[in-house]
Amino acid sequence: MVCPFKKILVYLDGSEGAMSALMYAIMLASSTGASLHAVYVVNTKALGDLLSSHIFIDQEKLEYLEDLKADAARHLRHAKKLADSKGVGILTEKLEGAPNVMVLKYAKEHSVDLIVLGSVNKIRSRRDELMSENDRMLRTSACPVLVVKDDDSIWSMFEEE
Amino acid sequence: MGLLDSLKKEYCFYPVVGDDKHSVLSDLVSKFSSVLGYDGKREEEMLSAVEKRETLGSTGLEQGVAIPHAKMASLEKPLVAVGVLEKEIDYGSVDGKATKVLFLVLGSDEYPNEHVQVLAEIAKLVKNSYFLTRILNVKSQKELQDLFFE
Repeated sequence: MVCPFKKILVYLDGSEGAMSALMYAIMLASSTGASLHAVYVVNTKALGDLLSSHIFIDQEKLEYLEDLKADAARHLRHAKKLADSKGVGILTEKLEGAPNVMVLKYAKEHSVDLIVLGSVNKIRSRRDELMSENDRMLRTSACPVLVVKDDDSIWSMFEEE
Repeated sequence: MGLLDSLKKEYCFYPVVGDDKHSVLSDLVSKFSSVLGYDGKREEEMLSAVEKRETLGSTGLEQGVAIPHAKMASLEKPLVAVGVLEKEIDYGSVDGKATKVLFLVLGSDEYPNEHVQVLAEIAKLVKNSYFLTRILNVKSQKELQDLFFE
């Protein structure tokens, strides 16, 4: 049987759920031989929206931009370290813009055939405005999407492997 | 990750009382701190962080909504409280109109992306005229909770 995917993209957003997704993606890449891409999107779309709606002042927007860039660098470095520890090659990329748009664009441009995401929202509201970036990617991706539940067993499995 | 990971039913408060910006922020922070089990020192830290941000420019937006926010070094994850005021007050909003609803957003240094995501979701939510009309006319805590968790 042929493995149905050759390029995996894992989306990192700095959350614990994304960390579980990263570990899962590394294990998947290791066991299938698929190549692995890790992408963090600095959400400059949200920063712009917060400034234009007067929630942020200029100074805050700049501060948060620097915070998000540092967060991206930290998480991509960590992704590289984890992948290296399992002998898995990984391409890391920091992008800027709207996460759901940029991730799907990157996936298309790099012929990614599996996107791995951390957990999506629990259904606690029917409001579209409360849909997360992960929810949007899940609903609009052209390729298959794997949603990894944030679970301690993934961390244990990763450590043991 | 998002607003509903940071807001819980018990973080929705009605009525929040006071005649001016300082008194309504104090009341909301006091109620929120009580639910969170914070001591007086952490309550003071929260109020001080939010009021310090207000000195840089009012977080009063248009249409009766304000989004006071700040980072708190001691926090692990972002926290959100929503308060509907007993009566409208002058909050120094950009449109010059009175304010009736407060979204109090506290972020952490460790999770900046989550803080930004939460603020962005609130910004989208308050642009929905149906939601706005309903929250501005809330008359009970239950009614306020149902707006988010129905």
